[in-house]
Amino acid sequence: MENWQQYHPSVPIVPVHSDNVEGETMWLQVNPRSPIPMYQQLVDGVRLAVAQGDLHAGDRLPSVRELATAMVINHNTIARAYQELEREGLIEVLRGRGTFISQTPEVAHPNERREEMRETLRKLVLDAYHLRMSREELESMLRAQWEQFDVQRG
Amino acid sequence: MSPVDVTRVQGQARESGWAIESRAVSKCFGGELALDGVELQVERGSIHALVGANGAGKSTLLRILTGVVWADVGTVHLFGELLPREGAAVRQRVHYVGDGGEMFPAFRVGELCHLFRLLYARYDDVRMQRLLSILELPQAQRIRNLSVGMKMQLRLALALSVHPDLLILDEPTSGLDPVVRRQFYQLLVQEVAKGDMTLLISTHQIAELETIADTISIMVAGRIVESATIEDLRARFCRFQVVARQGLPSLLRQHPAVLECLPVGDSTLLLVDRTKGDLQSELENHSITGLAEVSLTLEDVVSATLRANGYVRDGLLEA
Repeated sequence: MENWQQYHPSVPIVPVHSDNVEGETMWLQVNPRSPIPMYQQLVDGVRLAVAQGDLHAGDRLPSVRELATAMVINHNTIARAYQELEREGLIEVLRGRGTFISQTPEVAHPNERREEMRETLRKLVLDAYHLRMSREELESMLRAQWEQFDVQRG
Repeated sequence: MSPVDVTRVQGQARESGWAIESRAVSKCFGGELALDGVELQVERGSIHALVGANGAGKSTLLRILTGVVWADVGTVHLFGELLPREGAAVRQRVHYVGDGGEMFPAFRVGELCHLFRLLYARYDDVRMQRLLSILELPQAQRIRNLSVGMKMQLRLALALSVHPDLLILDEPTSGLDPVVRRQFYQLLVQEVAKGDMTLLISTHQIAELETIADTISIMVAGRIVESATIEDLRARFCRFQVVARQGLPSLLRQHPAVLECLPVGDSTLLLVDRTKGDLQSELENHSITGLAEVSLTLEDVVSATLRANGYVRDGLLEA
């Protein structure tokens, strides 16, 4: 099992730009031991890559089968992640052509997702309470994360 | 069995969403109940993990599904069709790979391929040749000279070359090094993703299944005690680390959701089954000074399920 640990599924994704074949390399990683469901980790990975500019509008993502094979992950898990990303409008599935990062920057289902965000925050506040953190401490943690994110985006 | 019969079977296969559906299957060996009313449902095109204690009846169940052994009571449907009495017909579309078996030690690899061509209506030699080269298996080598790992890889190559509707693997990775093991699962994941094959894996290597399986069944003493998606099963159990100033109230210790209670220093580790009541809100109502949730691996969850069903072993030589 220790050996298996070395093989946390990870895959280099080389996005194929419509005008730039070179592309960049993104690392999608999944930790099977994390309490976060695997499909959610994949969704988060693609979201992060887009936010950091590692993936651009029009980049092609591997097919479900390609990604399942490369990462040695059940294809239904990959398909579910792609469904969620499609629901969020982050990716577009073009029949017979493949899966691409969306051109449209508009936010899909903003109200529903804001509600999910509120729920996430509620859990965070609860966790902070049990960690005996002050409100200020949590707020400064949030600010620090936001700043780090800004730095990463450049 | 002629190829015509295989086509007939395949035609009917589209009718049911279940690849495997067993109802109240029981089996006795010499007065010992090996299987006791097994209910198992495996969706078509999915990967199902069968895990459990030693001697829980996993192998007996697999042998019934491959038509080698007959259930005393109960029914088994494969792809919507009652398991035929003709074992050879079953084996045309249900392929079994175990880690035992001698596989004609005097045969060369190429000769074994030829035998499979004669035995299996769907044998695909182009595919077999590709697999032999991917897995770096030598055609001219005699089977008896292959290592344990190479024999297992050969079994897998043959299994994928006969295009089974259902592939059953019994403890398949025990002789494989980590690199080959990853390749082994890669081939399987790829094949199932194509949508033509259902996979049933029985293994004790639970950590390997975490990223691969859709669903899991846990067996104890001839029964399936739990059957769920990996995600649901993991979400169901958790561990709470609780710090209580005056010790944990016994009311909480005896809460139905608490499966195990382990004191660690001034805190207590609780193993919790979330489906048996909302312990978290009850904990918050008591004088608890700290509460943290510790995540569980699939292996922890399976072990917890086994213990909750009375399978307990302690490895202490001295008390």
